[in-house]
Amino acid sequence: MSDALAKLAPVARPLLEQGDTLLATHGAPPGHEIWRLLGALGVTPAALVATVAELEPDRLRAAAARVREQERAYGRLGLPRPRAWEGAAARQYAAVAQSLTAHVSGDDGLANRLAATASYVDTWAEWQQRLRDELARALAGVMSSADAVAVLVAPAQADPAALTAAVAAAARIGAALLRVAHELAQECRDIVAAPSEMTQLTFRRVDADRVGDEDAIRLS
Amino acid sequence: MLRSTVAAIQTAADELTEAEQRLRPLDPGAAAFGAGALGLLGDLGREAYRQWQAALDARVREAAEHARRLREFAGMVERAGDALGGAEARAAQTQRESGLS
Repeated sequence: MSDALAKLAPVARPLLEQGDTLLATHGAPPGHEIWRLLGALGVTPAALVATVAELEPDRLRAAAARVREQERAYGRLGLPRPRAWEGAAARQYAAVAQSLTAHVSGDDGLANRLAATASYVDTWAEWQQRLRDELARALAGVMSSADAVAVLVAPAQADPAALTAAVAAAARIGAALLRVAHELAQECRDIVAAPSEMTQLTFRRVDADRVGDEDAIRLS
Repeated sequence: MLRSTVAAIQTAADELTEAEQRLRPLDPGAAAFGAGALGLLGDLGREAYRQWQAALDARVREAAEHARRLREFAGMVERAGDALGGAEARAAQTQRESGLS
């Protein structure tokens, strides 16, 4: 990946790890928003950024593109309709051929299942990219803030008040980052509630027995 | 006429078999969905990967099963053609024997 998060995450790592250490050692201020966010997400700010930085939506996009290629191939699939073939068997042939073709390229056919599968993966890729972009934006904001300076100079602070201020700054930074993931998590839940078009399509069989009835076949 | 029809149906069946083979290795892996992440995002990533795997398996099975259906259909049409050829041969033989041709 070569987006903003890929560039910012390595630079922000010392700040975020120092913030995690301050919060783990001293605890966030009571009642601070970060407590709720930590509980909901189950991940620290530094771990969140490291995790999201490893997501590669391009890999999902590539998989979706391959599925769509197959979808297009299904759209080209067809069975012949012999014009010179008449009679009951020919009608039966046409019915079976039509049902076999419709199963692939009909309104609710295999091609549509492929399209739904590709869309599912594309949606995930979009969600991952949005998470990366919004987290990068939040990260850029906190990296240039006074809170970042307070956190980074904390180890050198002998003054208890300055240390308390650094812990509060770490909580604000952490909350700003966790909030992004928390807000996007609901959309993620919606995606996971996958569409029914992802399940296996059942073939609606037609009676093909009479295709083999020689008395019903007549070639003109 | 039937020979070319049978061949066309078999070609369609072959395309479905190739689709099955192309789809099977498309899995980008659990990590691509963030399944290795900690906490809630990891839970959601693992569920997404499970759904993707189920969907991909369904697409592979659909392709395999439809290839089989098409081959069965090609076989039926082929047998019908063979039966028709036999009937025409018998009719021609009958005509010759009765002096009608």
